[in-house]
Amino acid sequence: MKPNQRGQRKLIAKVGVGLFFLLLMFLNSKAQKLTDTIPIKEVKVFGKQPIEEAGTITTHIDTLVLQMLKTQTISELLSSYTPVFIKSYGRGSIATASFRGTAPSHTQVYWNGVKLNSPMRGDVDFSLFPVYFIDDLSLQHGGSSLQSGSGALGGSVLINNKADWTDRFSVRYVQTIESFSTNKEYLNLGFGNGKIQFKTRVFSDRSKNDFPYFNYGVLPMHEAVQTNAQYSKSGLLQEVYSRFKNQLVSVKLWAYQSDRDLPQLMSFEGDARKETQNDQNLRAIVNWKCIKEKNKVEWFCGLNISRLNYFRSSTEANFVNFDSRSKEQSFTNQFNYDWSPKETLSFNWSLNTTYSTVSVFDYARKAGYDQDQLAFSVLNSAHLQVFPQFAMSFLFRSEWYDGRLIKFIPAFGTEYWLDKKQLSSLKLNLSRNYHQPSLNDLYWIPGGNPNLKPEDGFSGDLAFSYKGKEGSTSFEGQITGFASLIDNWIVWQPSASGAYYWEANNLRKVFARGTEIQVSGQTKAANGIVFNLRGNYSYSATSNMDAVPSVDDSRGKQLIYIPKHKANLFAETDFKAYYLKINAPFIGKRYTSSNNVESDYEKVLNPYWLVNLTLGKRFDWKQLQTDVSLNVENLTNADYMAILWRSMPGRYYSLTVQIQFRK
Amino acid sequence: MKKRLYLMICVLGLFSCAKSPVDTVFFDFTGNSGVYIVNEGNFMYGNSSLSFYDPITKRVVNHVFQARNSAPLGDVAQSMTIWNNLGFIVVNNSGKIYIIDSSTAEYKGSISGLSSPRYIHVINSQKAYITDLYARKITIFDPSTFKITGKIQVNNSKSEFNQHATEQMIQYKNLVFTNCWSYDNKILVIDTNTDQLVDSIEVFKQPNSLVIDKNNKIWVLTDGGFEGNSYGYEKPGLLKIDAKTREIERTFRFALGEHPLSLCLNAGNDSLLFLNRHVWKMAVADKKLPEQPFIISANVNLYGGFYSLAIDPSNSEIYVGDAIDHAQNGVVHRYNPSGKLIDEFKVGISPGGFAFKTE
Repeated sequence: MKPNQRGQRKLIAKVGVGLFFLLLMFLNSKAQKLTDTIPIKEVKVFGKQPIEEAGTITTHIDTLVLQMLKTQTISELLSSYTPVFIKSYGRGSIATASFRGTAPSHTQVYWNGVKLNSPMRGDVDFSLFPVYFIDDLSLQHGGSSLQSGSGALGGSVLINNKADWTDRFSVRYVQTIESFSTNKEYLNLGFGNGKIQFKTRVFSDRSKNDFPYFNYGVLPMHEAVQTNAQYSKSGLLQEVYSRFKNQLVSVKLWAYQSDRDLPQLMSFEGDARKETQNDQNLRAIVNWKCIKEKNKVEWFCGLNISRLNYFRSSTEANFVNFDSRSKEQSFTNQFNYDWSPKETLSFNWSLNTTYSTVSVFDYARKAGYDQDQLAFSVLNSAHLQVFPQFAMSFLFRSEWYDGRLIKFIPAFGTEYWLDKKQLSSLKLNLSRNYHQPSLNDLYWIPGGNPNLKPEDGFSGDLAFSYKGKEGSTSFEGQITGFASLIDNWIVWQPSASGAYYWEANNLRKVFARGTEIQVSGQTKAANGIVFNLRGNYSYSATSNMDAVPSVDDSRGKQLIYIPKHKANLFAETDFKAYYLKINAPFIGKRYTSSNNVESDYEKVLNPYWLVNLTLGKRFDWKQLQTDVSLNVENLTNADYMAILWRSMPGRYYSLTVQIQFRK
Repeated sequence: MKKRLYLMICVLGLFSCAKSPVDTVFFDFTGNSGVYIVNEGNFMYGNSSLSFYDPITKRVVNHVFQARNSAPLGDVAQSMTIWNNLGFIVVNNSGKIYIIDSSTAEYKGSISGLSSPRYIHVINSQKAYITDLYARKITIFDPSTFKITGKIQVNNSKSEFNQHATEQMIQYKNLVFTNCWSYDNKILVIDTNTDQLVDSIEVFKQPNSLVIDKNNKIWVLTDGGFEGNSYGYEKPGLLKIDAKTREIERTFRFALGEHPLSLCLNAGNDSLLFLNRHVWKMAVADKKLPEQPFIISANVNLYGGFYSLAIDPSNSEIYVGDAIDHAQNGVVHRYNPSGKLIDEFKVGISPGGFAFKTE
């Protein structure tokens, strides 16, 4: 084994077992404090989980994390606090997800139930979702995602907003000043009378993003400053909620604009280029709910309009290479009916129709397409607590799109609690899932393939979870093993016709398997110090199982840009009004060639740890709460590459001030 | 008798265990003939590379540029031209030319600030041309000093498409002929004495390569675009043009949906070879296209067959690049002039260009 491989293995081993050791250490420290009987309010009280979640692998992101990352985007949140791998092109740049080692389009994103994946590309750019706009975020892993919708061969990310019925009047203003001429501002205004609530959030995030780096991608190598990486993002989220007796009506409006310059690779030394991407999103949801003792009826309708303009030109010759403008519209209607005849039995039916249109045209190449798609999905699900310690769920979807009927997409889950308090359990989940091709896969000119079949997968999960509370200490952990076999995996690769362009085809059978470990704990010492620890580790091996020609060495190899190992650690300690937080994400080795060759010449992206540190203090004065924090990103000044030959910033700083008034 | 390939390697083992930063590896290919293989890599990955193959020892050294100079070659290396013991490597999407000593692979200098450079043609020791996909000009530089000395404007303002995208170059007397491939159908004629555009010849849609045979006939291969292409889609073709009169003397058409590319000549300049999934060969005197392939590719059903082609000008040996899935190390197959396999070896990602070292 090569030394650098050995180094990587060592690092991996550290991550793999490190979390367990940390948990053990944590449990030990807890044992010493068992005599401590001071009640604490921060520890959440464990209740029985809702029957709808029995047998599913779901991760709820703590509101503490949402609050802490209020000035970040979901891409940073997922990267730092979940097993999901985020492939980010750099600060403020495009960030796509790989959930359980699958492709970006295999992670489905729902905002209050409405799917946000681009019908054109299939994926979601997580850098366009500010955490500030989110009240609740959860992940459904693997087959558990079928409850929300199909297509999530890796899993789903559920983003939700909630009414705060107790808010009579509140204002919150957050400002962050960050290195590289970055300024972020967030404002939240809420008011209401408990029957009708209004909430308005606006934000702006601008950066010149001109960080210094050492450019070893050119000769002679030299110190450089990142150019053409500036971005400007802003958005508005307006929510109105009202409730009368057992009925709830809400309207939500999301407007978002992002203008980004796209930087060139480190090796670029050509004439001045202008390369930009502009994104605009307008989303609206109207939701009506009627909740009764044993049943719930819900209807919502959502509109999602996205525009993406990509432009590239050589400025000197005024030669426009690309001037691509796309507009996507999706109109969704969903009707849900939940019936719970008793506490141990629940049924859910859901009907969803989505109509999407995509219009894309490149004014430089004078090519594009206009396509639309109508899809229906029906869900039938049942959850049953067979015995006090045993629950099971069964659901199936039937879907129809473009004249293609997918009759039966089932998922079966069971959960067995090892104790009567439902603290530890074993879960098993088996499912079939499928993912329809994106409209680009079908119609892009040249290379789109209208004959593509949907990607079809079978997957299974086995999980053990544990949660406990002893005195002032609480802890939770879950270890999951998963495997899925995905057939007809869509790949863009050189045209079989010998043409110089690439073509979409159902080429591969892909086997994805791995483990996810999630642990968290909290304790409070006698002197008032609160200590919080969270860790995640995921192992995902995703390989191509049927490379055909004899010369093709990609068979059985890890897919490119998907790390086998990913981990993150978060520790927080609070003392009186002071807090210290450390967050350390780890990304394992990633291959950039399909045959996974490793040489000394940067074909493999090396693993890296980042350490981010936050130090803050809260000041409370009557109804005014203030919070000031200093944040150091990449504390160790690690030199790393997330994507081949794209420069990343070293250590940098930010100062955040939050002022909150609540009546 | 050529000397055997001699590698002077400071750190033993090119793909050794050393951790980054990797120590410099020194090469000495002096006196050896051989061929540099330009591996394009993937667009926006910056993973292009240079390989060197010695046909006598059958030894291949990959990552020659990075091993010797400790820096990557850049994004999408397009072509390489050897002149006067210098190798000019055109790194297309990095907008630059890297110049190396062709015997040691040592970095000698660069020409930067280009738009989308494609090929280099050396006219004399003070003048060379760089064609470009997007610059609407041919850049003139001094191959001895690597300084840019001028430009030849080739903008076609009459077209609704961005023209002219200049590509390969061949020379007849004082005239350089260059094919305009992307969204175009012209062969431009440039007077190398005045550096002026003097004429253009209209051919079929999208001429992708050209050669000049022993009879001073220019052969042009056109790919015809693709289905849905706003510029058009037609049968690919092969044209024979008299270099002196600039008249089209003969035309051939392929079937719609075929994708011929990489037109080459054998050492005697009397046979044409090109790719159309397989390798095809025809004599310059032939009056119809060949009906059977000359060398068959095993990978046609999945990856569209061979990717690149070059002929050793000293002995007509045939080098064929196979990029497989364009995401892993490609393979180069070497055949004798009658199409019999001599050797095959692994190179970098997407082997697209060859440069024969003759001294």
